[in-house]
Amino acid sequence: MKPHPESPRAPLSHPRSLPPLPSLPPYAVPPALEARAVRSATRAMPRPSVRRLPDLALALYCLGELVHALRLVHVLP
Amino acid sequence: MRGDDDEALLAAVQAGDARAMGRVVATHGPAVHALLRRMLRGDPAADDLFQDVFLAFARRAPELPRGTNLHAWLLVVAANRWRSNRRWRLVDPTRWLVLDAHGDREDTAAPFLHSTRNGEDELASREAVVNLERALATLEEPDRIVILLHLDEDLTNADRAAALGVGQPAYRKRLERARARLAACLSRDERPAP
Repeated sequence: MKPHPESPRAPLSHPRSLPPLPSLPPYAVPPALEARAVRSATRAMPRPSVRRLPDLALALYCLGELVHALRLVHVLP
Repeated sequence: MRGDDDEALLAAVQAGDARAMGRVVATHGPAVHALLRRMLRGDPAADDLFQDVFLAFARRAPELPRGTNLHAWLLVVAANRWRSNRRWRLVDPTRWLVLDAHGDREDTAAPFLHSTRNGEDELASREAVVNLERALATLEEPDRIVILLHLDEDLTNADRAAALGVGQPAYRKRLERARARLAACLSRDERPAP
């Protein structure tokens, strides 16, 4: 059965009068616009969290050492 | 190869390399800019949306999977931003205050008329591009975006449908209608003046 012309399954009819279309060239981005886009995007980039990890580990280590020292001088049980 | 470059660029951006972000804008910016400029024809909002697209990329980059087609991803976001901007423009009451809404529209074909490329061989193809640009400018925006996405060979039909926010069958129908209207515009332009 032939599908209704409005049906999504209807075959595409290519208008004969439409010539092969050339590919459109991209637009050069004005340097000021490009610089602005890079600046705002760079600012929005999430900071990598790997640098924070050693800081956290160091803080925990120091805390552990402090607790251990306080136990040695009997300040903590 | 663009895929490999994209993968390396995305990895660098995910690692927090600010220079890689610059390379993403330099590599993919012209295509994004072209889509927005052709859609918004002289409206300064095109520049804001351009910036917005790369801002969205910066925020979403950490969760993008390896092998993401950055060109397609950025163009889909650009088309989404244009759709959102268009919805706002439709309800913006200030647009009625502009007496000559199309008087200051830029001629999108103009940059190619002053192309630095020479040679008669290129003249015909350049003329075809100029004719197409002018015909596109006369199309309604919903038809224009369909044709622009269709002409981008780096996009799949799934990308194009996603950019329009519809399924692929609906995209094909829209393309068929837009092609018919574009054909009418092109034949009207070619017809000699009486």
